[in-house]
Amino acid sequence: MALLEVKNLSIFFQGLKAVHDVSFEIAEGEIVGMIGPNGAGKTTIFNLLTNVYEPTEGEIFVEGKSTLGQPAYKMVDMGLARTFQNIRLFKDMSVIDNVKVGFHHKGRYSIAEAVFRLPPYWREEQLYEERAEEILDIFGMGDMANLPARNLPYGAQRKLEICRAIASGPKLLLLDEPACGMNASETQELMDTIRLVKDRFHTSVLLIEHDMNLVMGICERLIVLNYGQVLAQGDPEEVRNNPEVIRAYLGSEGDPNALGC
Amino acid sequence: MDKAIRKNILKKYSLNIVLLLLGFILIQSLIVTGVLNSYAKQMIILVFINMILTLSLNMATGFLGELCLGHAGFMAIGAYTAAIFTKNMPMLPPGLAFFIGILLGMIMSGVFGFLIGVPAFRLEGDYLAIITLAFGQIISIFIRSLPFTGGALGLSGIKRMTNFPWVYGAFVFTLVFIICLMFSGHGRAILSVREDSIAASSSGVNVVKYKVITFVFSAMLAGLAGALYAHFQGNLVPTKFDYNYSIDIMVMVVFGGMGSMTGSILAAIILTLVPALLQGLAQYRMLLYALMLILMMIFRPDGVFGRKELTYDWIRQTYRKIRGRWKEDA
Ligand SMILES: Nc1ncnc2c1ncn2[C@@H]1O[C@H](COP(=O)(O)OP(=O)(O)O)[C@@H](O)[C@H]1O
Ligand SMILES: [Mg+2]
Repeated sequence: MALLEVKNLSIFFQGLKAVHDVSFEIAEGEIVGMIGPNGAGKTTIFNLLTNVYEPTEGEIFVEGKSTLGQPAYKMVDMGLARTFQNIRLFKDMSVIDNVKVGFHHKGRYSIAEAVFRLPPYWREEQLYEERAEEILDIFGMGDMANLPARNLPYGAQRKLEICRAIASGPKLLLLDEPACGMNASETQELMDTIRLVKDRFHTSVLLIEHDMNLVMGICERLIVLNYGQVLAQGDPEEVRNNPEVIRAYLGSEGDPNALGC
Repeated sequence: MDKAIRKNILKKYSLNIVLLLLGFILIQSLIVTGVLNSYAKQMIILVFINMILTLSLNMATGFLGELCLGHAGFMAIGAYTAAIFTKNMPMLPPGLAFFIGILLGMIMSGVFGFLIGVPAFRLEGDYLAIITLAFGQIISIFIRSLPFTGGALGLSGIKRMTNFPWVYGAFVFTLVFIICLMFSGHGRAILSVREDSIAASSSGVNVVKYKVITFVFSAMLAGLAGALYAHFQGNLVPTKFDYNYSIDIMVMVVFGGMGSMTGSILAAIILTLVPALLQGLAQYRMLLYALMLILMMIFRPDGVFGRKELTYDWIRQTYRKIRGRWKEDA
């Protein structure tokens, strides 16, 4: 059984078919890239996967369970965590507290236990502290733990978003243009980190990028979107040589790499 | 494990406990020895009641980030509930009746907070300001027209139970409650909702639940302040709890810095004492108030403290900085 199964997913915004009849699967342990020009519907698919939007048609299954009707905050319980194309951090909270929010859904101690500082509070908080430090260290951000998130440089903010997502212990990590705004060496480092994340935390990764070359190195499989539909999917070589993909990328829209993110 | 925890608690909190005890002993001894006259005593009690109010409003507005314009309404519910209870329970020992009255006042305020919070927060968009504004008005109309609240004339003959130990105890309770709540996973969830509710919900935080919970706590603490106020004043008039009072409390929170407990406490002290000391200049009071707020908006739009707190770490660092500069000069 696939980890993620997307079946005939569609969403229409006032007649605009932002996502139209999209189906794909992701197996456990895979790193899959989702590419396509700006406006192709990639971010909208993430919003559908995390139940921020309700699909007009179609259904999503995580480990065989339908996600239909689940509130957005329950999606982490089902094993999905994400980052955002326009970074969304808790800017006035410390870096380590940002990560700790990722543990929230596993939190067991009650408000009363917190207020009276009973043993469950201490035990859990100590565990969170250790685990959060561990995650930050893996991303090379251990020395930034107590800074307010807003003071981080851009690249570190992107990484912190991934840390927070990892903290929730996802089976599938959804990354929306994580390399956006990074230079070549930062991007290379990020790709290495993503591979590390996959091995260390045993998560599958679905990675949005509109730069095709970038994902070639890291993804085992690619899904190409255009105008809300799947244009092609398969291993990177196959996709690269697919004439329709070449046309979409080199067609009237010009070079997609020239577009901002 | 549990032994280590106990040691941890002692290490972490012993200084705070000592400071809180010292504060109590200091003020209480000034009162007992008669250094403070009865006017000063009353002002102190009023300051503490206002500190509880600002701390509670700061929870909803500063920590949760929701604008609440009807805080005096929750205070009124606490005040009237507690007063009606103690007035009708003369057979209970006064201290016990007062204590139960306070609890009932808090519960009643909390119930109203829940009834307002659930619909307001389930709607998408910022409806809380409008709903709480309406709520504050409606409550004062209800109080004026209900048979058991004394109507427009007010409720009098409430036993004056609120003395310094009571308000100090209530203040410490409020402070400790908020600090222990905010420095926990639940507190982080509340802050995350303020910072970015979309990111919070996709990190697994039930946004509506935390908004309602925080708002209910905020209302309950306002009810606590109300119950204390009723038994301080001895009588209640509905006009006390109108829109203006809600705005007064909001001004204090904004002045101190939304999201700073230190700021809320300091603002409650200053903005309670200064107008009282300027009583002789009563006709200029509103003018000075307005002037101060305008200067504030220009020079410190985030309030005196912004979102910062006065902590031991801050004191230690500042001390080091000052000492360092001193040595350089020498
Ligand atoms: N909430 C919305 N309301 C209306 N249109 C939307 C909404 N979200 C996305 N769209 C439209 O859907 C299309 C796909 O957008 P998006 O998924 O953000 O593309 P991208 O592949 O660049 O991430 C765009 O035309 C966008 O304008
Ligand atoms: Mg996008």
